[in-house]
Amino acid sequence: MFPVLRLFRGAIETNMAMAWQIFTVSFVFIGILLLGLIYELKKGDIDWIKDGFERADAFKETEHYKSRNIG
Amino acid sequence: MTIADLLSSGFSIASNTLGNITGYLLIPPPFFVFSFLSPVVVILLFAMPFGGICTYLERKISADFQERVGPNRVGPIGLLQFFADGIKMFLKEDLANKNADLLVYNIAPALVTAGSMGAFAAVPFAKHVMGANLDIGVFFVMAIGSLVSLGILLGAWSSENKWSLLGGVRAAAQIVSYEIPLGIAVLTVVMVAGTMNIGDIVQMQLWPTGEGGHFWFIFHNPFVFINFFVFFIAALAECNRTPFDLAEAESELVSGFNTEFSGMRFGLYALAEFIDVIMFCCVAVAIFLGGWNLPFVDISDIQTGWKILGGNADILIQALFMIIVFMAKVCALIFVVMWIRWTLPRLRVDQLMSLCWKYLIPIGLFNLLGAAIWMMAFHGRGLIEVIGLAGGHH
Repeated sequence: MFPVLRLFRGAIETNMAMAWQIFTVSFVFIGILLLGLIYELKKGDIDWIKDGFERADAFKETEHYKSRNIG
Repeated sequence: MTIADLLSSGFSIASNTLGNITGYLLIPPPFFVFSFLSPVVVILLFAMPFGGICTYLERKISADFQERVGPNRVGPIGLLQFFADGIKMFLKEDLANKNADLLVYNIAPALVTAGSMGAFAAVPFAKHVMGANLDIGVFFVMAIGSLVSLGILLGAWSSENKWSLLGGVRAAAQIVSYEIPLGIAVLTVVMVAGTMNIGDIVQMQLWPTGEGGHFWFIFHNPFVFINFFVFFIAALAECNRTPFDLAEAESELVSGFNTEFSGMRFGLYALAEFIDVIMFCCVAVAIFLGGWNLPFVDISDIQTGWKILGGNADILIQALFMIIVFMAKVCALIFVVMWIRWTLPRLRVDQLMSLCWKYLIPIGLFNLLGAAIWMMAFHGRGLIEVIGLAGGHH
């Protein structure tokens, strides 16, 4: 992104068609990254702490919980 | 010109040492000697002592916030406290855990310090006072700054201590994550300025008489303005400063990644944190806040006619004025960083990561897009030029 967007200003001043080309290419690239981010957000993979009940249920499934017969 | 040509010309921008040396020689003697030595001057005579003074300032400012006196025993108003701390650290025993990986353990603090101090090479303090006039200056600062996360993680891992390791993993996750919004914010300025050379970016912000007639880039358009705050928040996190100091959270991790370090190795970690803060403040001032420029004043116009060693002293006098202006802005930003530290509570680790991935990155990208649209709509002109206050020549 850095080398391409560095040339954006010069293209605006000298060649508007080129500026549009840079704009489109750059933001298609960013758009793909954003789509990935939105997908991960929806999936919940960016949540560092999962829902408390989910965690408790997951813990109950572990061998550690079963072997110690907690609760 | 095709996209392929565009990319190849973009990637061909590289640091040219020979060009720099030629540039130095164009400055009349004896100032090219001063300019040629500036990397050493900047790093040894500026970064280290200023980092030490910042430790004193932090203690004094925090004391003021908490209605205490603060350090007041060593030197007048405690001014030499940082010097005494330095001597103490040099004299303290250098300990290491029995099972520590000594090679990595010994290298890690040096890596962190190198990452913090190396970035100063591309920071322009005045027109001719910069370590290296790199065409990829912005890129260089971000790249060499990444050494810090490596040093922290290596030091934490080699300590053979679970608190250190936890702190190190937290620091690595935090620094790697926050580099993304930081990069996006910097990218906005690179797009607006059309260059990655930090010296050129500062020169463009000379208003109203400079080339392009731009005012400080923070005021170029509303999107850059918001991205300045994205940059500032991400920089705080990059430096592991409160409210993002989870990597060394005392209440949870003893002292985090530097728990096992003592003596001057601990001192290097502490110093590197402050040097990192100074470095990010310098970059913020250079690319967003006009660097050494003041509105309506061109410091390069100062002419006294004085002579030093047979050479014209004006360049030196101008450089001194520029350094004073630049440092005044840097000190103001450093004060804000300290103010935030002693005002806000520490975030939780999930809040820290959410802030980055759910807020700062989308906001940064939105502003990058907004700034690009602004550039297209107004042909690269800034807000001040658009509303008719433009100066300079296009």
